Amino acid sequence: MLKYILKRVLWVIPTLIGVLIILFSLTYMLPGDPASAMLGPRATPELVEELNSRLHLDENMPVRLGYYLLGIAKGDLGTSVWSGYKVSSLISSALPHTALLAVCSLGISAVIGVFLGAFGAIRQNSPISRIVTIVSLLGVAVPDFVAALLLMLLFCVKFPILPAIGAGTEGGIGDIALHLILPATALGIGWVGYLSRLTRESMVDVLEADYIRTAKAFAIPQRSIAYVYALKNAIIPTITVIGLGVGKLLGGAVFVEIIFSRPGLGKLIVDAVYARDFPVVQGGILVATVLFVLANLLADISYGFVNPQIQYD
Amino acid sequence: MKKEDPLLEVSKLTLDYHLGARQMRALDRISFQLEKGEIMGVAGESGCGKSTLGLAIIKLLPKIANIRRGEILFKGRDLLKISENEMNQKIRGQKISMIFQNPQNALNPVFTIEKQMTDILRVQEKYKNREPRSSRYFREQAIERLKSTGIADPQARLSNYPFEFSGGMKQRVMIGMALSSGTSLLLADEATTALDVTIEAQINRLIADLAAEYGTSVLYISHNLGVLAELADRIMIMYAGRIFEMGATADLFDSPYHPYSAALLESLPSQQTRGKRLLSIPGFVPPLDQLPKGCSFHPRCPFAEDICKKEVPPLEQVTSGHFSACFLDRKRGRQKWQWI
Repeated sequence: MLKYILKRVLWVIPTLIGVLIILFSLTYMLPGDPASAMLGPRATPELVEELNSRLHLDENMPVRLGYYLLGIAKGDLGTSVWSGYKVSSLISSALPHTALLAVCSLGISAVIGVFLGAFGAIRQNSPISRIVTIVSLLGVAVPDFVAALLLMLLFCVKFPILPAIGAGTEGGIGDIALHLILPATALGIGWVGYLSRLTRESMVDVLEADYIRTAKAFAIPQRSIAYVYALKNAIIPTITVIGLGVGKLLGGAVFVEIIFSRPGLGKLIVDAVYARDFPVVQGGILVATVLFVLANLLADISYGFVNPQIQYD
Repeated sequence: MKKEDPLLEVSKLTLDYHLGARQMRALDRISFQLEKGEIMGVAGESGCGKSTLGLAIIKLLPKIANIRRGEILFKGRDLLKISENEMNQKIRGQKISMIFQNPQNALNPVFTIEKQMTDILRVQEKYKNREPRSSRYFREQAIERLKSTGIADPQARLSNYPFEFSGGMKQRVMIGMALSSGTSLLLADEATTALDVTIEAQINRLIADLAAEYGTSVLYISHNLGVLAELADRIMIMYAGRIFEMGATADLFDSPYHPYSAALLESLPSQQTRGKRLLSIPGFVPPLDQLPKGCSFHPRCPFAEDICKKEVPPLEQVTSGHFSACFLDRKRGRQKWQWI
């Protein structure tokens, strides 16, 4: 098990190098160069040249990549060409907001989605189950940025009961939680729909299985059969999807963070793209990639807890 | 001394399946008795209602099933009138147990054997309103049960998952769950069909031995007459939801009354049939919603006469303890039905 985790973590390195090569190629293709973006239109060619050589922008790509990797090895992600702050400090102040948003929305929507799905499968023909199906379809159909705008319109403009922008860092935990409600809901609503549909389908199959009939024949109470015996089997595909979904979630977080002006990783990266602040873009995406790979690893490990037939080696 | 009441007395049990607008009679006036400690074999082709009968007794029928009439008296009480709650609290898993056809899928793949066995023991204890016991007690009980089924090293095996057991071992685990000294009736639905022949014989021996030890009656459902010949005290032959013939095993094997039973026996390989072609009954079991008028077997029966096409032959006693549902055996007397 430990060996497996170590192996998977080491696999992050080639993944990251791949990501970096793509990133560096993209910065070549983007119009405009960072030096003129930083120094403005009236900068002298000497200044531009000096900056380019300081940032190794005059070198070819493999060399730049080499410098960059060397920096990472020293724990240095470079400096923002725009603000002059260390990229690592920018990321470390943005990351908690995104992490909190992602964990809350995914965690809560996983719990709600799995429960709704299980409930829908157990009471297949009840009116509540039909309502759940419709609501989850709606949740899947509405993109998260649309949900974000609608929620903002409803709870910040029409009924101004929740804060519209920021992360509430100045206030206490209560304020942070308050600022989290709308973004987390916007980001999670699609997941509730998706996960509940997935769980429902797999649960319907599992409830027909022979081992459920066995449990019934031995008078195991209905509730344990549904929520323990069946659900642990039904949840296996859901976990796969949650693991793979973290990447999609980080993508969705970008929109939601921009709409709600949350100072998170997504907003940091997008703002940096607009400003051609390449070190920040690279550092941000690098960290996002690491998160994505680690989330997948976490999902893979969690299989082992629900499905004993999975062996790690 | 007064003869003991039968443990199980099914009378005129009639049951339909509803599939959309289609209505199918899966069991038609099934009546039989099962004595204490007796092993009754239930035989017939696929779709004849054998499994439905087992599920009806333990009341685990699918929702589309609808019991029209009849009684299932178990120790004098009609199970059909017992609430679902009471079934769980007093009957299922305690007095009446069931083991199923496919041991590969009969155990939950994501829980250990220990969890699955102790859960059953724990709910039974709870239903009996006894003082709560320690996990260790239930573990000991589970080990005892496994030991009784001949599983080697039960302590270690408890922490295994079903996929770590072979098919025969899984069926042993199932038997361990199902059979204890308190079990009055075991319903075994094709319990060994999925196993290979040597394992099948071992498991059947185990069922018979434990049943004898605990005084448990067994309703042994199987399509394999050869297995039933070794195991069962009496045999019931079913066809399209009806009992065609029922009698002591040796009696029925020696000289069946019903042409269908005769045909089933003819299609068994034996010393006498060595080197000869085995019988294959022409045609197939009709779909339950398209049963022919009269005796449901008459289209496949070369001996059928006019009356067979018009009237349903009732199940009647032909000799003491031997029942048959055929007009012809009554008319022509007991005879050897020459299928080949």
